[in-house]
Amino acid sequence: MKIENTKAQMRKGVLEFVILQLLNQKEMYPSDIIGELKESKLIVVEGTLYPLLTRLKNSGLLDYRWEESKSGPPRKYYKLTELGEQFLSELSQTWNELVHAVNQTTTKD
Amino acid sequence: MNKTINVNIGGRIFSVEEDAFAQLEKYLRTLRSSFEGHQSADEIISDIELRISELFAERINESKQVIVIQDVEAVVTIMGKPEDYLDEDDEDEREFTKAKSSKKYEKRVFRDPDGKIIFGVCGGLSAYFGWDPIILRAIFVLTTFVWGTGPLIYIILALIIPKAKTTAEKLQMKGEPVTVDNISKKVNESFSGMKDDIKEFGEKHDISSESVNSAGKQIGDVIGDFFEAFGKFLKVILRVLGKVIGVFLFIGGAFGLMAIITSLIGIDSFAEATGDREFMEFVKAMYTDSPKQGFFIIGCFLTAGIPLIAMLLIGIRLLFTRIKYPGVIAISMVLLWILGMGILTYSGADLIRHRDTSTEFTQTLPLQLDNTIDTLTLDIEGANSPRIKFRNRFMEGSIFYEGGVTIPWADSTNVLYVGKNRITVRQSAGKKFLLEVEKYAKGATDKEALMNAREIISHHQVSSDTLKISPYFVLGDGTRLLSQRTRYTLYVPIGKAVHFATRSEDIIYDIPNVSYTHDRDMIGKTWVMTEEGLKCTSCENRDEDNEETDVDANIETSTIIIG
Repeated sequence: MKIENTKAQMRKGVLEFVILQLLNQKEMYPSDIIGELKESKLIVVEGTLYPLLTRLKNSGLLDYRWEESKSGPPRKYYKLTELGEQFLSELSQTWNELVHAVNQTTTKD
Repeated sequence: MNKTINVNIGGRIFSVEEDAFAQLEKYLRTLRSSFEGHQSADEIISDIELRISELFAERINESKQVIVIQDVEAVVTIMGKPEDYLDEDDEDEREFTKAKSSKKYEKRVFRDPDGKIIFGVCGGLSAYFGWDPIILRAIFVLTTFVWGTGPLIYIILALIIPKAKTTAEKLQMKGEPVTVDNISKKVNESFSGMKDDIKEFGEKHDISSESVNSAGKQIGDVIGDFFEAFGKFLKVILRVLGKVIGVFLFIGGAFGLMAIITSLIGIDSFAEATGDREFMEFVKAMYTDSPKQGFFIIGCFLTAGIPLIAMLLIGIRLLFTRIKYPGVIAISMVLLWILGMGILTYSGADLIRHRDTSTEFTQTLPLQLDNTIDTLTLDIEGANSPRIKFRNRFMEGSIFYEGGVTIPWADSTNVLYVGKNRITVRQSAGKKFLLEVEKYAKGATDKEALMNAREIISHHQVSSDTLKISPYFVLGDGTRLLSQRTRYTLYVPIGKAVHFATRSEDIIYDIPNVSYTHDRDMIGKTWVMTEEGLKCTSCENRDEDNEETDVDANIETSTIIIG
């Protein structure tokens, strides 16, 4: 078992959650999301994001609209759908439970 | 000065340098191929292109207006390699990505369509095990000759092992991780091949979504390859065989030439050093004057050397297929060889001319013996057996060169030809022991032949009751070889006896006797001359002989019974 695989797995699970969180706060276009994620070191290369966004969109959690940009071509702004909000609240709950569980087990002894 | 290309990336126009453009295009192509079959591939790619255009835009300003290769490399680093893009949690594509990812890190056996000679089985297997394909190919070809199993196994493997079609599969076949670097490396190797692969993969994917024809396609593949393959199969057998033969020809030719040059060029300096002058001495013994000797040597070199040179050249040609010889070489070699044959024929005819008469020269030597003795002992002269003195070359009927031996009675210490003496025993008509020597030689005329025969030097000595004969005769320096030979005959009067000393085995030859005893069984015994011939007087193994006869008789009897 490789540590890199485990790390990647954990990061991937969290990544979805974080993206949904970010988009819950405001509409964003991919470069914005990348900026945030890079700051938190959740992604290493940007390419990872696009298939993920497409998948979330395809499963109806996200929606997007095109918006004119002053500096270039139109941008794809993503936002959460109603389904996405439900999904996120469920994830938040699970996340809190996980955090609780991890804290409890790591501080036990 | 560099050429730039204007491209539209994600709705923006960029001036991109040519090499940077090639790099970018390659990157996008590999990306696209890594998303092959993904239902939203186009959308993802266009999103990525948008992002790339943004990143490029950040790198453009008033003073820098062109995208160079460093920019592309930087962007590729930011965006990541295609394998980072795969989203393994993708539920819709789970099966697809899983299959892809499990394929990705495992080495798998494929047939290698790029390095193939027939079906690419050996290439693929060798890539899998990391061997040189020539080894497997040689094994398959060689097993053809063993039990014919090679081709059978090969065909089975060709049907079982799938062909590597996509670049990813080709990399897997070699066990290289499917990274963009490796893919681009591969792509560089076969740019157009890559295109076909993508196309082919697309086609294959369509077909496999029908999911019925994949087995058929595999067989179709093999059949499709078959016609091309059959010709190539013969070709590979010939090629591997060619290499093997090439090695043999090369080695044979090289060694043969070395041997020839050693004996020919080695005339003086080299031969002197190694002490191996036999060929030259032989030539000298055949021809007296040096132009004839030289002529003969050139003839020998051409007739023996040209085929060896041809072997060497053909061997080289088979081993290194790129080497080509101009036709004039072959023609001139054939002509030289014919010339060599002509020279040898002439030299041979010359030799025969000098040998067309043969003459015997007989000398009868009365032995200075005390006539009162009844038994004469026959022995050889000299301390050593000639077999020891002249190693193993001392043979019946051959004359050989021997340098550097001292033979006191021959008055010569260096160049000598040594032949074997032999002696037989006959009944003497008179009352005395007699020794007769026949010397035999060839020559152009009777006179010459007689002269040549007289030149044979042989020696014997008599002391009271012992006759010692030298086991060899010699020919002095400068003598030509003219089939010289000798024969001694000892005449024994009736009533007198001869004793063969143990060492006389070397010279006695075909001695008639009443008991038909072989020469080698006659030594160490005393034989008395009777009216009928020589009779053994000191033989104690009469019983043994009888037993043998009995055994023979038994066999005969039993044969009769069977009959």
